Amino acid sequence: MTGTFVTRFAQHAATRPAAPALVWEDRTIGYAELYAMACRARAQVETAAPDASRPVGLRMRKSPEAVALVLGALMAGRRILLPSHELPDTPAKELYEQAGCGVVLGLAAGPLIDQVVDPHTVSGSAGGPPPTPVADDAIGFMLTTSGSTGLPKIVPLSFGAVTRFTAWGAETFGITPGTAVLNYAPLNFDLCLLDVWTTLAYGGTVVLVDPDRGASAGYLRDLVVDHRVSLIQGVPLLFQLLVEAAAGEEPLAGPEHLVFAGDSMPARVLAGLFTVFPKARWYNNYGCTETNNSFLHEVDRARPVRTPLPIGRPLPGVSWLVVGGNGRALTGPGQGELLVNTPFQTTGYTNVPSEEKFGPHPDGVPGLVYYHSGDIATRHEDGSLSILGRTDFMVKVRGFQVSTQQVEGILLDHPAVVEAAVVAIPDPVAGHRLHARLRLAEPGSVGVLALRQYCAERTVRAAIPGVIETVADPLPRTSTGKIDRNRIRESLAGASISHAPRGSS
Amino acid sequence: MSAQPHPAPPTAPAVSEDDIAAFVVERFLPGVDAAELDAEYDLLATAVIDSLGVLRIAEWLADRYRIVVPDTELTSRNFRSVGAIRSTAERAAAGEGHV
Repeated sequence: MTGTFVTRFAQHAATRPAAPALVWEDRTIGYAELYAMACRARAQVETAAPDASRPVGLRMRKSPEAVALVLGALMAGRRILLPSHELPDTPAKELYEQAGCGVVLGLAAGPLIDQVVDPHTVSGSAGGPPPTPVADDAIGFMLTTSGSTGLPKIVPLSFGAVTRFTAWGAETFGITPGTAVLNYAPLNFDLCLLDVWTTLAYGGTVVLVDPDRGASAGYLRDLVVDHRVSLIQGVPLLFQLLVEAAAGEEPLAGPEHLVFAGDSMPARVLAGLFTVFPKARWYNNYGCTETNNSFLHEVDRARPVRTPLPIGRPLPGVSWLVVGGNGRALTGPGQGELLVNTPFQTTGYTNVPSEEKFGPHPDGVPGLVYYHSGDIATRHEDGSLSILGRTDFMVKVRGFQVSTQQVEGILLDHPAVVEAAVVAIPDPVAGHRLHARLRLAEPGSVGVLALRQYCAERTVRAAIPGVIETVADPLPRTSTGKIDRNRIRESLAGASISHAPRGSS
Repeated sequence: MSAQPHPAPPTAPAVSEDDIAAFVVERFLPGVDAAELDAEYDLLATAVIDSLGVLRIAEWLADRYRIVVPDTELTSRNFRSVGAIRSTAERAAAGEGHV
């Protein structure tokens, strides 16, 4: 193909060498400097991984050097497997093996790392050949799913898919030279396709958040203010932190675009955003690692905001279906699993069978491979879509289909509730029973009875948790900032005896 | 209320709403203070009890007060709130239910 997101980056380095590419701590790394680091990394990758047909494993924390190593490997035309650096050694090793990695590279010596790459080494050439030409369907990134249930799935993405995605992202959010974009997600996360790789392909500046300080509201606010960030994409937690940091401070007038990703945005966080970001446009982004962004909804701030936010309109080139319980596509209002095909999607998993999740659909466009999103969508009268929850979160309680995510959303809408997790626990009688664990803004500000009443006014009885527990400590989170429901479920499994019937006297 | 060492007296004992609330909270609302449970709080709509819960409360009334609620009265509506449970128990005690 004529140009990829990698060649676009190289062109910026040539034409605007001094322009800032990355901001990290108090360093600013210009395009030429980053390109030079990438060229040195590339040379080392080519030596360490001479067989271009085998993927290169990467294991590293986020840093400018890590960005340079990714770019260098891609400039060498290599496929790179980039799992979370927090993945424990045993599953990480298995993942590199399943992908067929010839070598695992890192920036510092450590377990599983075959060779250390130093993008600053003086002996390496800072120049070098232009990026290796690659075919449109050649694989570049091999990202992984979160692996909340078992080993992560490997999701290979072609250079063409990512390049098309960056073109969409840059146009939609106006990323051009001079645009500063906050990168909150870890480098292995699909959100980086926008934050990092689109920004670098279109000449903007990536303001890298140090994941170790990602829970510090003041640090995040300072990054946004000091570097005049105009685009912020992140999980609800990021926006919650920015709202907290704004207490008693001036509103953040700089950001123009806020993109909500990863989890559904609670109404309370949205309410906080009004005053903190007076000028920003809000977008609800729908997508996943397998397809990348597929729907986008711009929130009309002038009208009352209802949650869950709709997912909005399909992006250009996206095809979709909502498949009901009978296996046929809905033609009117109803509920079912959302199937999508995007110009950015993977061809299928590397390490597990893909047939279950990818395939044509008899009611779809002939020849198109649809991804079974696992999300239950509601198709409204007016044709718009909203997401009810994951099929994984759908459980049966006394014969009723209940989405634990929907119940969480209801509880989070209560003004006193800051965090909510609802988990389903198998029950021999009811099928499942729901257990809600909540953190309140002020301990004791609302009672369990009032919360039950609040739920009763908003949902069916089966969806009201059997137990509502309030806690003082923050709920456990995963490395990507989502609530760790598995850990909560495990903690309850050990304590289930306390809810057993007690004898009456 | 203290435990009753002797068989129930021949007249129907007074069914206490506090006593019912204490049982409902202990059995179905772990962690809640019984004093917070209003006598008219809707236990059904808020899914505190279901039909199985109705049976548990009926069993408890038989144990605690020796009041047997007849099958025809074992409807969820009759157990909708602490107040409703008290009326149901009193009706049963006044009728044939009391042993």
